[in-house]
Amino acid sequence: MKYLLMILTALIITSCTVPVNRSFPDLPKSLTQECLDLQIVPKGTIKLSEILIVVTTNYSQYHQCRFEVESFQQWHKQQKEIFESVK
Amino acid sequence: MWFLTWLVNWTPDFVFHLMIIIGAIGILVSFFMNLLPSIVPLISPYKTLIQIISIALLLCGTWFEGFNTNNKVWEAKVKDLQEQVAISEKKSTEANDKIEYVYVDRIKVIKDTQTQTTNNIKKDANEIDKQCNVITEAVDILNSSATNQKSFK
Repeated sequence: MKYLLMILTALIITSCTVPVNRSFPDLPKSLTQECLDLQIVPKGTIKLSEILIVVTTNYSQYHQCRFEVESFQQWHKQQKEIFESVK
Repeated sequence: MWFLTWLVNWTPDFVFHLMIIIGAIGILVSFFMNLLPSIVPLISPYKTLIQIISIALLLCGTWFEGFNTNNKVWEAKVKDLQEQVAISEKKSTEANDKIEYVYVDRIKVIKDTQTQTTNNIKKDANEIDKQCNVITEAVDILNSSATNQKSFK
């Protein structure tokens, strides 16, 4: 009786498996880049213009990184909606 | 289970219909044998055998018919799901391409802005530096902020 139940369970499980394989899509290459470290001002710098250039570079880096995060969030939301639309 | 699926797929549908029809006719004939006096002498010795075979055919035919129908329903579901998956994969690729395109465009704007600002600073460097000289401590404080390290005295 025990074996019969096991066989029946196995039959039910195997017969209920739908042979459709799905995988969550890969992240676009551009969104896999890591955020770079902020630049530091070289020692001994006394000119404000040189410091401002470093600061500008860091601001730019921040904007780039922020956009990457926003893009990632948008990508995940879209892909999740698409993935879950298949029922 | 795979064997049954294979068997049902391999066997034409009419075989199952035929099993049910033959089974039903066999049962009817065997139960109402007395109403058919002309053939009774020929088949009456096999009455029980005919009944058993007919019932078996009817049961198996009905079971396979059900299995076949169920199998077809599942196959249709799988096909539908595969179509949906193909559509979703296409949508997903399109969404990826769009994000990639927007990304490249936006990064270009950010880089252009940086270049423009840097050029402006370089252009006015003399004016900026004339007004202000930066002490070493200020640079250290700024760097500690950039590297996320506490350096307050």
